[in-house]
Amino acid sequence: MNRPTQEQSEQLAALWTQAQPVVSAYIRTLLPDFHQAEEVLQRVAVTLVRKFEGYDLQRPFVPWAIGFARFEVLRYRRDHATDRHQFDSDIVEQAAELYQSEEIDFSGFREALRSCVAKLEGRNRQALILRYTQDVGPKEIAQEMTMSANAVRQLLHRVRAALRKCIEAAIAKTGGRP
Amino acid sequence: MSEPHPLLEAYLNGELDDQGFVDFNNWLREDPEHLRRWVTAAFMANELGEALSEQEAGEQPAVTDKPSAAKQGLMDAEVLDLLQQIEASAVAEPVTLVGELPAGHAEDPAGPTAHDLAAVGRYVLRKAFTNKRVIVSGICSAAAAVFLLVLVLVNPFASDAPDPVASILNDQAPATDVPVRQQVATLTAAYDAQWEPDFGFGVPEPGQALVAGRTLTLKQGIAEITTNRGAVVVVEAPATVELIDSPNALRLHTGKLVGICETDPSKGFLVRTPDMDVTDLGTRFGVSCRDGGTYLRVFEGEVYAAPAQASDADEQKVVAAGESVIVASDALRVERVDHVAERFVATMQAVAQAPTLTGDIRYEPSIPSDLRIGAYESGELRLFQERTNVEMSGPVAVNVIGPGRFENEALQQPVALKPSKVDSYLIHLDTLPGDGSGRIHRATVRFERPIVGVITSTQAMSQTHALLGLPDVRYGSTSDGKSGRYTGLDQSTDQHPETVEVSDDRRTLTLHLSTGDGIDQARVLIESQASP
Repeated sequence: MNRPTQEQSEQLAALWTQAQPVVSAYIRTLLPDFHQAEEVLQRVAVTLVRKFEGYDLQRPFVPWAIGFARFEVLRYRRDHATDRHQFDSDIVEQAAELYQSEEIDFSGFREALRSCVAKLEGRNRQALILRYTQDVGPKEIAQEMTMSANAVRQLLHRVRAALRKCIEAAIAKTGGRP
Repeated sequence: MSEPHPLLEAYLNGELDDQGFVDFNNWLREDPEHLRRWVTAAFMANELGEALSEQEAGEQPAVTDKPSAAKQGLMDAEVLDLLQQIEASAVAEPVTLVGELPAGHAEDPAGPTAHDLAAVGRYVLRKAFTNKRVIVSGICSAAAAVFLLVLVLVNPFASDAPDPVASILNDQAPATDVPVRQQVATLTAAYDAQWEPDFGFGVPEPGQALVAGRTLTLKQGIAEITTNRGAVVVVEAPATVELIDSPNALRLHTGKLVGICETDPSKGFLVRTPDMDVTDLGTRFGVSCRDGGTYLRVFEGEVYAAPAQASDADEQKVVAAGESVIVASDALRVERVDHVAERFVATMQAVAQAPTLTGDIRYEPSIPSDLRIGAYESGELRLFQERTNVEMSGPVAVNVIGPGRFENEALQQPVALKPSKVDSYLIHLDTLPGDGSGRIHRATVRFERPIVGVITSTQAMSQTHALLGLPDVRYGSTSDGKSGRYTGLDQSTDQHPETVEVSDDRRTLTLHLSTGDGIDQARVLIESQASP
């Protein structure tokens, strides 16, 4: 492997900063387990460093990076072929195509989501924090929040729906489309 | 807004079970819009974790060149109302509070209000974050840290530190990384096996459960491991294998093995070596891992071979039956090779096609180089694999053809076997000093393909060493059969008759042999796999 030059390192760092949320989301879409996704994302990051010498700066970076992520997800899937909590390879491919396309404005989506999340308070926020920062399922959230598991599921669904609506509204007003 | 789908909800809540995943895969295929909904929801879920982590840690939302929706006052009033309604409705259930309450929130006989509960919830959560359930802030942060680390380490101006990529990509997780030592395989057989001491586990015995994280070093002999998913792995010494955290995979650090995957659950069986990842699709293959690289030979079916160090799917190759490939150490490509050394192939095929034995006999795919008296003495009946796919261009003298029971003179009469393509096996019986003669050995050998002939006389044995034996093996008789020791089954006496019986389907050989003062040897010829 030829090590990246100083200039290449800086270029890569800048490109990765923009691409990483999408690459990360792609991996987590297919590997919901936090630790699995983290392992694969690390592999992708290292691979990008190794392969960056062959990257054409005229081409979009995200689809290029998603291509490696796709391979690493398939590789992880193959290594854990006996794990039944896996998406089929055709789904992995289709998801990659969607993430590689410009059909979804991930950047606008991300921006709008942060604004909407900042407005969340109380149990809505608590449930989301437990679910999405601590990877806790509805049953454990129910114990933490002394609610029934079904009530937690309803709460999570309604908060997600409201956030989605908030995000769509925000993006619509800025001319984008989620 | 689309109606919620129970499978998508279960996915988002991390509650899909085995069948749920199958159903969810199918649902995603039904309609491109389903895929889009899923991707969008998953992206939102991922970003939620990031955004909440940042905000709870007191970080400012990500600053970009774009004016944010919040800055523009774009939070829809209707949405805010909706969120407030959810906030209120979520606390309709009675709640029992546990632990210390924050100041200003003492227990109220009338019960807590929604705002009280929300405040307490945030307090409890902060306590959780700072005390017992600290979770890393998020996958992006972790990956960003790794990425920056990689950038620093690979920076040519930084230092002459070792290549970090190689170490990071080297995913040989130590055994201690396995969270639960669960059984993933069973040692199903061992032939003349000697093992390196395995601290904490003792010497493995056939029938013993093998747990993830265990490393087995076979110093001598053959061992058969069957994974929980039914893949059979035959390992030939010297070899080191490691059971990894999967019921259908293992790691071969060094040595040879043959993988046999003939059941549906075992499809996808994975063998990882330092150089190559081999994924089986329901077939038989051999892997040899040693200094310099890893060889793969496929006997039946197809497998995927990928360089362990490569990250490009294009480097993965399909290897079909009869093909061999190699990945050299640290190479990033799978290279096809025209042939692998015959001994390697013979060993692999021998193991893969090991006959089924019952009775007083043991199978060894690797034949010793010297079988003469004094050089190799086991005192037991042994079956060795010799040659495969031998083309006999002319008639060959054998002693037994076809079904039936043969003894005494019948074992000495030469019969011409018409030209064919065969595999050869050697049956060997010797006597340990002090054991004396007349010890009876009874055994049956079930072959995968029909027996076409059995060579039992010393003369016929000697005449076929060159064609059907291995050139570097000393069998114990000279080419004219007059070495002073008999090497066929011609020591039979009326008191201890030696018999050879071929079953009606010509696949089972039944032996009834007795020890004498020489070596008893016979050569069994079976139809070659490549026979028309």
